[in-house]
Amino acid sequence: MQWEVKSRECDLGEQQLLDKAIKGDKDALSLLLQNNYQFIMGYFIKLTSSPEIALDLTQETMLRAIKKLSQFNKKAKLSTWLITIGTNIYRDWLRKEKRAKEELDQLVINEPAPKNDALNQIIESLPPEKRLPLVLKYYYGYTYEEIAIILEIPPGTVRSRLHNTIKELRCKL
Amino acid sequence: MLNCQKAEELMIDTLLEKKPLPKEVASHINECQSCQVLFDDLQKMKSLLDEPIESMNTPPIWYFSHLVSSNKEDEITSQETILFFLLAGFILGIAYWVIRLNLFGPFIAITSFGALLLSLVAVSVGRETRD
Ligand SMILES: [Zn+2]
Repeated sequence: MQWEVKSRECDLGEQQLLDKAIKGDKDALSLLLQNNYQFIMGYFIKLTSSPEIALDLTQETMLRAIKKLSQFNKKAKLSTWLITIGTNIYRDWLRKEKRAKEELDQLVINEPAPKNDALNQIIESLPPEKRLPLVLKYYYGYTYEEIAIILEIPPGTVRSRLHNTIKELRCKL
Repeated sequence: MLNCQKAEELMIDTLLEKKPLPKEVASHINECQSCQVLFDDLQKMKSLLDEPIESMNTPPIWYFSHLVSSNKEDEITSQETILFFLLAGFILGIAYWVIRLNLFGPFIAITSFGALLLSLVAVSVGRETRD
């Protein structure tokens, strides 16, 4: 996990940078966002399979983080907080996307976007409520409790949902 | 002895947690045909999930500085708050004494003279920075 390694390496100075950023130091905040960029970007690429969409969602996540920094609980990890914000932005995007698609469907028969590799196909075949826990668990190594907090779902359902997802993917292989 | 259902659960956990396969599961797989098939499928899935994806470069720091400065409202520091209250107190004090001592005439004269001086200073400073 290259993003993970990268973000962990930056942990040493992260607390100091965070303290400064919360006090209003813009340089510290910029550096923190830069350090976490790949981490968030990778998350969106996994979720959307599209670097262009991932770029937009990453920028939106960064903007929301800048505006809401005062609400950040210092006990949490910054990367986890950013992933939580990113998850909400991804869900908003899905809703908008669904609405736009419905409107478009009434007008034209739209061609499916070309999907290249097998990985994109298998992840994209999953509905978002299964895709999100899989990406958070498999690629980011979050615990079931952390995933439950990020996704705002009961901790008991995370493991069973993931197991069901794996079984479902197996049938699609 | 491990049953198939338990073996299946442990294999999926192994995949999700990226842990090595427990010995008991490995020995069960050797003896059980259907679990062997499941194990092979999970390995196939793992190699698919581990396919590298196109990664993107991190933008330079000025991109983040720009994002931050164009979106973060400047918060008022405590120093600025103190300064604000001091200034407000000063103005209120002057107003109080002007009313109390009935000094409207001299007050207006002094403030207009002050305003004139300030605008002269502003003009010269403006000229200097322009040159
Ligand atoms: Zn078995």
